[in-house]
Amino acid sequence: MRRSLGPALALLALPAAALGEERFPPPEFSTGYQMPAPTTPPPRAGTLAVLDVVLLAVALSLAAYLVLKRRSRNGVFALMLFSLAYFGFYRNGCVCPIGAIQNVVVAATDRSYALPAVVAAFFALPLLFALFFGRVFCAAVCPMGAVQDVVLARPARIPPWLEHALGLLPYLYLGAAVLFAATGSAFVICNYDPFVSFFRMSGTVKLLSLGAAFLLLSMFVGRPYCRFVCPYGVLLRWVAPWARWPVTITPDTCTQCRLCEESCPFGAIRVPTPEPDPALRHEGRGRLAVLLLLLPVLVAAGGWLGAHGSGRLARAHARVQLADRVWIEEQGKVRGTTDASEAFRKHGHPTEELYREAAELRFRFRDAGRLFGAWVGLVFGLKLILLSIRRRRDNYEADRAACLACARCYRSCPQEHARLGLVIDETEVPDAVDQR
Amino acid sequence: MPSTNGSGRPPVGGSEAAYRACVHIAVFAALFSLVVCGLLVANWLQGRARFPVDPPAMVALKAQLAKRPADEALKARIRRLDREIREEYFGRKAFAEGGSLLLLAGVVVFVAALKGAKRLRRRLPKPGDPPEDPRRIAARARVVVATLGVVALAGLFSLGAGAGRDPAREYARAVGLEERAGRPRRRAASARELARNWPQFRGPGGSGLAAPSARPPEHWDGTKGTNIRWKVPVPLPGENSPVVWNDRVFLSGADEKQREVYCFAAADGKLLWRQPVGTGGAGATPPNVSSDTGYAAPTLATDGERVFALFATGHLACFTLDGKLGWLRNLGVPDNMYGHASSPVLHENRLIIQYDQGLSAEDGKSALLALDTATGQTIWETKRPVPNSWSTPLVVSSGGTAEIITCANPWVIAYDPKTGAEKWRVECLSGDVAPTPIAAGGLVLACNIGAPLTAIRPGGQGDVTQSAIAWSATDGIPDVTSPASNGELVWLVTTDGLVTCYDLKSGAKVWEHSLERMFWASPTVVGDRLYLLDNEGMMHILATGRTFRQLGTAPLGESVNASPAFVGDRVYIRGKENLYCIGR
Amino acid sequence: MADNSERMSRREFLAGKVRLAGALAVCGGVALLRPRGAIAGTVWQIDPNKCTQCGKCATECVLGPSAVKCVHVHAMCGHCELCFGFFEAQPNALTTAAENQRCPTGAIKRRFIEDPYFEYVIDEPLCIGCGKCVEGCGTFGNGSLQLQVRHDRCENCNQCAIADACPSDAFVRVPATRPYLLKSAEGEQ
Repeated sequence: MRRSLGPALALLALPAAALGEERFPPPEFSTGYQMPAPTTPPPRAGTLAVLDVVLLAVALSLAAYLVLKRRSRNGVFALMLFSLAYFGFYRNGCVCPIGAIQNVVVAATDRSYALPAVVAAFFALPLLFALFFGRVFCAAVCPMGAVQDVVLARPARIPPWLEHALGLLPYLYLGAAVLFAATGSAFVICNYDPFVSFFRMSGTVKLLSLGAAFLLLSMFVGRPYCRFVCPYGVLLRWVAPWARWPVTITPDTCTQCRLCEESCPFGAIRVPTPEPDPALRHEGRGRLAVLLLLLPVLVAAGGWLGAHGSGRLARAHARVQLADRVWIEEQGKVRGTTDASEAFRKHGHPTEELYREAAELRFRFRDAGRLFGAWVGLVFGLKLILLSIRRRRDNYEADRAACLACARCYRSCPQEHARLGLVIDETEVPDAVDQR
Repeated sequence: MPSTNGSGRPPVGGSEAAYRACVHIAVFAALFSLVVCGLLVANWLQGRARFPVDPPAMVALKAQLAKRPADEALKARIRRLDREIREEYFGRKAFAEGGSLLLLAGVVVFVAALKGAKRLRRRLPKPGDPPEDPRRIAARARVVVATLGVVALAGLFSLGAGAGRDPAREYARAVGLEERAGRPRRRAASARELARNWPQFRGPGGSGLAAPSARPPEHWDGTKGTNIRWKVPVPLPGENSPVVWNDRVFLSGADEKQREVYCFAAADGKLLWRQPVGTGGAGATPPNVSSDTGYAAPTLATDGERVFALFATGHLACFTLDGKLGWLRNLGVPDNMYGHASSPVLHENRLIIQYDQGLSAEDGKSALLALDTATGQTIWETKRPVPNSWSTPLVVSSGGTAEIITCANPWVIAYDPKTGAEKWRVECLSGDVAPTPIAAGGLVLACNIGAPLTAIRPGGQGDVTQSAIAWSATDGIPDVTSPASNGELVWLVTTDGLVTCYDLKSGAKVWEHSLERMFWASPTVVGDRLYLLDNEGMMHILATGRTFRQLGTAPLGESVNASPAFVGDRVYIRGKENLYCIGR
Repeated sequence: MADNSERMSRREFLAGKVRLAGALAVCGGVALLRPRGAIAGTVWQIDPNKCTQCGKCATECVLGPSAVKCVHVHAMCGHCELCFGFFEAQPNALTTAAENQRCPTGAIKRRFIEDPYFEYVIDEPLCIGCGKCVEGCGTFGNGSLQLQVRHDRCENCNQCAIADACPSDAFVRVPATRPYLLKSAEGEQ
């Protein structure tokens, strides 16, 4: 009976939420009209994704060969340009090992998320290569490293003490990325990727200006993102010191000629330690003991502070934001609605379900916040301890963890010149020869 | 020999002219890039003001036109403006695209020229002062690192400042999830986890509505094995439906002598464990049950930590998901003329059991029980003024409160899950009530053959028969199956296959269609499909539209009485003999 | 010197063990997470059931004109003369003049078929994914116009910027083998 009143009533009576209902039945055509089918262009083929992985593996192998076997900066530079073109501009920077950290974390914490095999390969391959060859991924495969390396014009020397401090930022960033990925709230690494909008040549103003700022900075500071931001670099730092075939500045033995001292724009060359003074042998032992005792205190304090601050962190999660908003709307503490609260009401889910979900998410955030805070405490505590341990070094060496394997230092070593059979013209380099 | 520069280090190689050229190119490229960059920014700034979606000027003109619909000049202005805005929008897009390519080219040239110049002026290394003492570096670094650490911890602390005004504390209390001694009361399965699984009879909400993430196949064929991932025999018979938690599927089976609970691997159907239930004591003498009901009609329930199984003998067992016995009780052999069939359901840490018995309400045997899931102890028990029934209770939450809805002859009664106190009741049922109520669109729907389908507004107090009924409808009322709804329409299917669709808001009949098959399994709404499983195992898939449209059928090749479970891209169906997992 | 080389060989021995452990940890860890599903994994798509046409698809996408566009499922279309996807809510006249059109970029092409039916086709290069027509058709019509991520344009960002901004959780990861979520049986892929 209601239907006989016709579409006019239906127009008035039906709520806006209804979608996909046939208020006006599709007609039968008498003129033989053929309906067009909706087009559904497919996404990038899976075989191309496999090709990406193959290219990644090939580029990594080639990088290892060029850096360690050929010791060729020109080769590394050429490969870098290729990576920049392919992984950067052609593939638009997605997916990359740096962002893959988050996918791995989500896969580990949310069982319903299936880790795509391609992402898993992008995450694991550079780490495996680093286990054997050092950070060859950073050297010539990572497009973000490449773009900074290519524009590097006049590297400023960062004082080592500042380098030590800024070098901790990636650890904090990694912790934050894991926190937000594990709680399912955001992929911060992707949200604040400074170069992806540059590779795409389009993006939000926020990201484009961030990219421009990093590019300008990279002209005067060697690879600022890699050294002071990149969270994947942290993982590589852990792995690279154990490399089977690490980067060695000299192909032979170090003569301590000091010529390589300034050749690294990334501050990764370590100088020999002075002869230990027997009188100072016990200096600093007390400090080390204090710092060792301080470590658990720092971890505990960080954990407590992290749990304490987790309420604010939880507001990064869209569901928590929504629940907060719906609650103050329902309580009449605020007027008006947001897009999200309107969409929520439109779907008619009970508010209790939302509150419950948000409350549970906050518990999760508290656990995650506690871990994050403890991590922050651990990072600073361990760094202080490491800064209080003296290690002996006899020669000029590349710091295995920090070395980006860019191959720049090779040419500064006289032994390398000898290896290549280059004769040093004494008239052109009087200083250098005198020094020896 | 090139000139020595200020630092006293001689540059090597390259002619002065080439060097100059490089510098000039670099400067020119930098200027060019800056100009292009400036133009792009200007283009963006201007374009932002004129985004084509509802530009204020256009909105204003259209509002004027609504007042003066015959104003031709106004129409011409609108058309002109429309054209302008569109041309500008697409023009700016093209400009930005071309501009960024030019910018890229400029930057490439700049960098290349710079590199060239640098190469021409390459300086040989000359070590300066001896390297700084590492101990002094370390000492300075310690100070800076310690400062940074203090700043970081202070930052963490400042995050927590002002948490007192957090609305979360208030709503967490409202849903009973407030923090106690800094810990959640129980590591409960999250709402999302519950929604993703099929934890009880009729799915996550108990209303026959699959999770939005469910995307079951549209076709399968059990006779040919198409889209059948696995099929395994179930040792003992039972009418209960599969429940699913992550990688496990649970069923029970029983005959007059023995009762068992089964856990199958969702991946390959492997029987992970089977556990006997209550081999002696009360219930050793089995009750009389009809062959259609059997001894294992109630569907299991799981909270993601434990699984609960109820049998017609009154045995109630709790196992961990790994098959360890948590607790075992016997609720007393139920006096039920066909055999107990109502399934246990979960609410927070309570297991709710509708234990209706006796041929008449005057017997006073019927009750609703809430047991502690951890221990099995009764938290409360409320007597019910009804005879035996076969309907499963339903927990609905609205506005921060929850109600347990029960159906039996003649009352629909709602209880408070915290205390078991009755909240409201509506007289609208008759006969041997088997269909389970559902909640949809803020209404509770109850029905049974011989009485209408009744839509009740929950949340009242006392006998609200006169005030809380939104609408009722009399056609196509089932006697076994339960209704299903997508929040907009309601579907009923009778035992003899008549499908009737009602509008949920108004109760108007939208369509009806006879499938001419027998149905005991309840219908399920999955996305925009309605899945109806008949007794011969044929799945009928209908569109959830306002007209009847059958999208397909899928045979199982085995007769079925239980309702299917829809999880992710899988469907689990318990046939008479076998459990099937269907999926691509 | 002998002491030194001994120290080195001990270090290399330890490094070998660590390498083995590290390689096992990386491979085993990733294998434990069971990378599975389609090779290319998942792609982003809009669930039309959840979409509320808030308009963010047109503004939040990292691409210039958004990768989201309107898709017309013709089989669901009523082919009405007064189409609320095409026309303003109270059109001045049922003509294609600019003042009557809902679409801000004129991306819907209207063509007469036979009395009283019309065909509506999306001109994709013009569509900016604002969802105004989707809202009109969903509110008053059959809902045959639906917003979808177009995979010939979508970069498949690891974290979709529109998904971040979507107020109704309508953006979901779907298997790359079934990349569209169009309503109606006929249109679904």
